[in-house]
Amino acid sequence: MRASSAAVWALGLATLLFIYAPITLVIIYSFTADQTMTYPVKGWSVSWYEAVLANEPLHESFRNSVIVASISISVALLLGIPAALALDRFDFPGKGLLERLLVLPFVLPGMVLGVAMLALFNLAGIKLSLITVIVVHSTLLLSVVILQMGVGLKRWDRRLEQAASDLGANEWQVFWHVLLPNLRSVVIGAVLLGLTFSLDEVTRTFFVTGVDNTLPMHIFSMARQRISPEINAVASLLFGTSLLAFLIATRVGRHRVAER
Amino acid sequence: MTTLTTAPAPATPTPPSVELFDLRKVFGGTMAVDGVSLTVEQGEFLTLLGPSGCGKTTTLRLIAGLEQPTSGEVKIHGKSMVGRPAFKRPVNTVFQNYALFPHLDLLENVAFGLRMAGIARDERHARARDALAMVRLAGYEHRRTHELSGGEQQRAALARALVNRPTVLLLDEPLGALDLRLRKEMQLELKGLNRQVGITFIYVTHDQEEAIVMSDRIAVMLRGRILQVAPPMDIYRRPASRFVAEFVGETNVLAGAARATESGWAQVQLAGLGSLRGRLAESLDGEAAASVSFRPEWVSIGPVEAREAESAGAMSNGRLNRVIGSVVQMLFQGPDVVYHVMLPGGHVLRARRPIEAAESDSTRLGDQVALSFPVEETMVLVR
Repeated sequence: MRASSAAVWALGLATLLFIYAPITLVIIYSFTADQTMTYPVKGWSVSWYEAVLANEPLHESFRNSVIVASISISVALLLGIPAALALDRFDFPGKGLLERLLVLPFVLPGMVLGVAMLALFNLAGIKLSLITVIVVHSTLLLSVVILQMGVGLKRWDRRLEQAASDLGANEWQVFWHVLLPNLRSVVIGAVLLGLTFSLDEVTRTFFVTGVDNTLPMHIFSMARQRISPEINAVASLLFGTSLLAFLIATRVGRHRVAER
Repeated sequence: MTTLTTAPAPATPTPPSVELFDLRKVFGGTMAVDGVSLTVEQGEFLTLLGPSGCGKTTTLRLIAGLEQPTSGEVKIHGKSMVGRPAFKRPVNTVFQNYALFPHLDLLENVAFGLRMAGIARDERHARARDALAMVRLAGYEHRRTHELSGGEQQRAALARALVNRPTVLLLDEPLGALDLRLRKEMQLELKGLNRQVGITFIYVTHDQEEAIVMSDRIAVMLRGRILQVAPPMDIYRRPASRFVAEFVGETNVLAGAARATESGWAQVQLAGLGSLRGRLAESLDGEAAASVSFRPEWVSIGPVEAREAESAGAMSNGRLNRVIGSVVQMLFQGPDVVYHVMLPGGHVLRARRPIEAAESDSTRLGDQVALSFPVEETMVLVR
């Protein structure tokens, strides 16, 4: 009994180490004073962060990523929320098929989708640019929004909508003043998840990128040239941002639990 | 529908508050509401009473516009509501589960209807405060709905509906979730509020006591139909059918064959028990199977007279019906004693006597007794 519980602990620790040791190393080496990643670390500096701050192409790729992510998530929300509502409320022929088709981009191997999109853009004579990247990201985030909203709407008590309509709210007012505020945490969750997906997406993006790179694509090309501690600095910054987003997301989630 | 108290058509030109014309609603093959017609006057407190599944809530929702009728028409103040959605109707509803908005505090909950109507912030907040004060929730403005007790939520839902000054207030079993004491208190408050604000109340409940205490008129419903509409006293003393007699209050029922005597009266032959006389709930030609219904509180207990001992068991002398049986049970029920008396055929009747009357008589378990009850309070029910 004791021995087996110790084994479970050991296994658990080993798993955590396996996941987090590389990230820890990345963070440690982002502060190295050396030109390469050598052990032991000879000295500490923030020079790699200064390099990141001075790296204009990196900044541009970051700006591109922010543009792509924010437009994609907006498109996904604008299309996804009404779609999720329609799927929740109405029965129509082919509904099951549509439901599956809408979440398919999420499940389909990224490479398949990337190749398919590239072929489509070629056939249509559309030049690859940030717009094609946005189109591809939007399809992915649309799936995310529909899935998340679908879960939220299943738990939603529609009697509150009837109460609102009884109090004189038209369909639009019911949506805006009752449904949306009550599903706020679901929407925020979908946005954070969507942004994370978009900021980090490479497989699909790879096929449809024109001259303008997104951040992960740029890091990818940097890494192919040379593993420099500068990449560690970028990675550490990204890790910190993701952690922050994750903490906000769980905070919002906890608020929702408290309301119930 | 023959009732003793159908109000004569008003001569005034003001239309009734709510009119239902042959309303029907089909849900997936079942007729939830099956031809309901009803007129509710301005300021009236009308209760739709019936067991669960009788269509009372669906009828209420048809008035609110939360359901559209399969056929028939709803009129509010003489205006047809056909095709008019809930948010355009001059009615407000207090829902069974209250349906308060969890994302708003109490003040914003109550002010919601006014906000939808485009009333300026200051005015709607002032009116919402007044409404909260009216239901004794002043000082609760910034509470969240989940911080309120059941009774407080109920009052908040009431304030949220009344603040809009609807011409008709619909209430769907609003007291169902409250404990008995609070429920009794709220019954009186609701009745008082109805008188005070002059708004028409249409109230749905399955609780017959609640219906009797609060209503100006009760519509008893069963299987999507209205069986009888009348003031509580008439529903209780002059039920039109066996279902109404048994659903509202406690009653004794004996089955037999009725034969109309003079207008409005019938003689009912009970199998092997002689015959009783009673009021006909509706006109009767010739003979028909019928139930005799009489309330236990009208039944008095006395000794069997010598000449009665030989008779069949039930008889009437024109003013009183008398039935002979033996006492099989005596139950002390607070202010009353309830006697269970078995007739020769095995049927058990109940007699309810106030405790002071029971104290002075010497009836014992197993005694042969004569039950007597006025023919005036004996109903002959063909349906």
